Amino acid sequence: MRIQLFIGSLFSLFALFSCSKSTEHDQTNESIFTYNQPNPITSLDPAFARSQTNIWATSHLYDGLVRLDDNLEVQAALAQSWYISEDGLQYRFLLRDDVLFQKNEVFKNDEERRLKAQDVVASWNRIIDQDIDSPGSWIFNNRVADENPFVAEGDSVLVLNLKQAFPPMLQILTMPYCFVISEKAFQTYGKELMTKPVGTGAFALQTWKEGQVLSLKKNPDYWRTENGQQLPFLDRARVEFIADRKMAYLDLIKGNVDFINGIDGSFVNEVLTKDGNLKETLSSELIFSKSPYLNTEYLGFNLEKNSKALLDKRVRQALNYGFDRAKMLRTLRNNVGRPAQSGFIPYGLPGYDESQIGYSYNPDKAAELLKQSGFPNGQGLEPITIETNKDYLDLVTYIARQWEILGVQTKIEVFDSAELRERMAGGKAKVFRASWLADYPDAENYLTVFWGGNPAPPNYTRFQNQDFDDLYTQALRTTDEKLRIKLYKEMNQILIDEAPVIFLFYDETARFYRKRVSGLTPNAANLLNLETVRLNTPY
Amino acid sequence: MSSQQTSQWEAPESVVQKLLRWLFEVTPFILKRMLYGLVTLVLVVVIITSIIYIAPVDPARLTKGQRTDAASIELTRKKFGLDKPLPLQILSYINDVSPISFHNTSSDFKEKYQPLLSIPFGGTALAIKAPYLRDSYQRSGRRVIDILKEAIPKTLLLAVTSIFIASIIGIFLGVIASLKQNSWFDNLAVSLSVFGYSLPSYVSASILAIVFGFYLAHITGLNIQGDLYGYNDYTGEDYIVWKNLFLPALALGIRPVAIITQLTRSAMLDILSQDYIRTARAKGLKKFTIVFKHALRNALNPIVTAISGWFAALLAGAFFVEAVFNFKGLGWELINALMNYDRPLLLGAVLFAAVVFVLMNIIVDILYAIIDPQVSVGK
Repeated sequence: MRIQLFIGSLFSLFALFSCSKSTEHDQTNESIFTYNQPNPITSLDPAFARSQTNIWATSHLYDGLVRLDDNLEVQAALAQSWYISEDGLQYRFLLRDDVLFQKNEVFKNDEERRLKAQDVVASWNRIIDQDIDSPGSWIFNNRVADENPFVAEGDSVLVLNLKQAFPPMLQILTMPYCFVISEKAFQTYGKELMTKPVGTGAFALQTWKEGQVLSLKKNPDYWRTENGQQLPFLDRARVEFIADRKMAYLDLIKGNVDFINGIDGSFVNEVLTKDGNLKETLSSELIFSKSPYLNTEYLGFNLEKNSKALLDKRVRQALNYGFDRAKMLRTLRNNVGRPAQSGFIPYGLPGYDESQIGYSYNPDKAAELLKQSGFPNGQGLEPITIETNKDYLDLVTYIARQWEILGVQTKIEVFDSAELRERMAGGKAKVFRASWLADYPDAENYLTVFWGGNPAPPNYTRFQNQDFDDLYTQALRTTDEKLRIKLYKEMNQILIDEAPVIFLFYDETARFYRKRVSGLTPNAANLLNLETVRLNTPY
Repeated sequence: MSSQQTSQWEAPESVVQKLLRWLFEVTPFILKRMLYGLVTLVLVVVIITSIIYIAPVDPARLTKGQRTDAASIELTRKKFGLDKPLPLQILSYINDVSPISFHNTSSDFKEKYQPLLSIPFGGTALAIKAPYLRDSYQRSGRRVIDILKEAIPKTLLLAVTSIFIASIIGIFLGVIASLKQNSWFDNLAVSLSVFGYSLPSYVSASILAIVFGFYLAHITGLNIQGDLYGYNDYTGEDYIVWKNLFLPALALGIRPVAIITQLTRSAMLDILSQDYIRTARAKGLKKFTIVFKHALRNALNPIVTAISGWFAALLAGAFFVEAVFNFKGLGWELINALMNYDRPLLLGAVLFAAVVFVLMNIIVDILYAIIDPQVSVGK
């Protein structure tokens, strides 16, 4: 009798579990595109769009005056045209007159929803407002005029006044920090804007449950069209937050998720061959897309305080020649990434030049340079300690083993990412693994990492070079695009010669998505543009 | 008790009197234990704040990123109160958490602390309030208490479910093993439970997730990971995904199963050899009645104690299982807070766990005193 009770309760338990509703895809024919973000969104307010997760989310909801196309060219967005004054100090934008903010309770009528220059002024003032305390304040600080940096002339002209010319300003304006929010919404919601976005973007917020789901629906009044068809094509988009990348990958295979970004050691060998192609067994279900990514990975040297040997540039050059980048990428990253053989400016960015010869594997030259610097076969050289986080331990170990073949004793210390960054900023790390991800697509953004006027960060290596600094100033003064690129290349050459870093590789984006997804275009800024995405076979 | 023997002439104590007397005896004990508990909680705050203070990471820099300038970081440090010396930081946190506290009646006083009662004198106010656990550094600056309010019920449900599953399986296995002592089933159950006990929960969780949530998913219909709450994009409704509770509960229950199996087995073996069981058998009672009605009932005592002990541990210790299954309960929040150096959230979560342990210990002690008259509450 009791045993029946036991068995009965077991069964009822199973019944309890199996009776949950299956509500995922079966209700309408609306297309819903689901992608995964391993890290939670912390805010939907563009003023806090610092992490990639926040950037993607805000870019679905908002637009800027200008945007980047897939070739990283600046294109018109909310501004239909613009004019930059001769001296580069004033930018005048003519706004589109057909843009409406997404429907929201703050608007009484459609006229209030119309985008006006005053909205842009309010949005950009928020970035430099100390009360808002935006992590993006650096984009305007010391660059825009102290008085009246942003001025609305009527409803449709916006004027941006700079303190001194800064040619990459237009690229900066494509950043999510510069997205335009509704002034009315800001006045109504204040800080609540982080959960109640009111933008002009292709999608409007349906719901955001922090760390659980972000659900977006099509903005029927979106201003952009493609070949006469209104965008976006998708009815809905949904973001899942599966922290474990392997689990997210398995959910992609199961079809619960349409898109994941990035590879991870936990599943890379299941999905990619060593040459970096999608495994045949998966090619009927998945698409793998790899494209340049504006991210340079490097090992930096602290040039302020370091052993005497590492302050000698010949030793740093020798170390740069002393390991095989191509082999490293093939064996450890399944060929995702390109060997950094042309300096610091990454592949995919104007200013990158393949013909600029940096470092490749050359053990003879490395040995020769070590000999010249007085450390033949590494004799007399103090052991080098590379500091890294655990994600790059395999890469660093590979390099260390190769350096040991040269005779250079190498140790590795693993730190937590945040702690490592703190050690880099405080100058405690002598040799460290780091990467520089573009904030905006201009080589200036990379070269500023070595500009003597910058503290650490971004100048983690404490690189000081008068020629470099002069060129930097000169490049920012010129409005001639070609000359500027030429100057950038010269600066890149100085970095190659002085070798303040070990150039590792130019990163590539690795994206996996299901076959039913089309219209997803890769871009070097690793943006996820959903406007033109379609789902071929709706569930 | 001796008092009853000497006062035979008086009317016997009523239930209410008994209860009152017992309460009178037990109250100082509870108060003392609560005081100890309070000291423990203060120590928790001191230790955790100090550890994070020593940790070579600046939470302000972590929230602001690589590109920001020194002035802006300083601003954030000030906002977080990190610019103050450590003892002050600890004191001000304890003041914030304490239900009775003193505060500067600055502009955001009411909004921040939401006091039930505040008696102002000068620029300061004595406030009576619910504990204020501050705002998270990372999570859009949300109130820690709100984050915990969402997470704790999920973990509670998970713990209850897993203890439930574990008790059923464990008692069942233990009884059978004791009845068939030294048989193959007994040996198997014992070795399995040793194995289960030594299996770390994150290993069992990963195995269960991949086997039942992926490879066998077409049969089981289970998800490889997932939160308790689902969201329907079309209707905008939340719903509870009960099946997402099953694998985490199972993974979490494996170790308790092992313990319960062993305990049940040894308790049953002990009792089955006793005289009254032999008498029952001699009376010709059914075996089922003997085992479940007479033996198991008496064997349950130590098992119930073990279960209540485990329950506290499960409530606070579901970290790895929650992380593997992306089940956003207390453990998941705690791990994330640790990774992001989110001190308020970390402190809030650990404090909650500490409160659970302190209360659980007090309750278990009182229960012992009730169950077993040999244990006196005064000791």
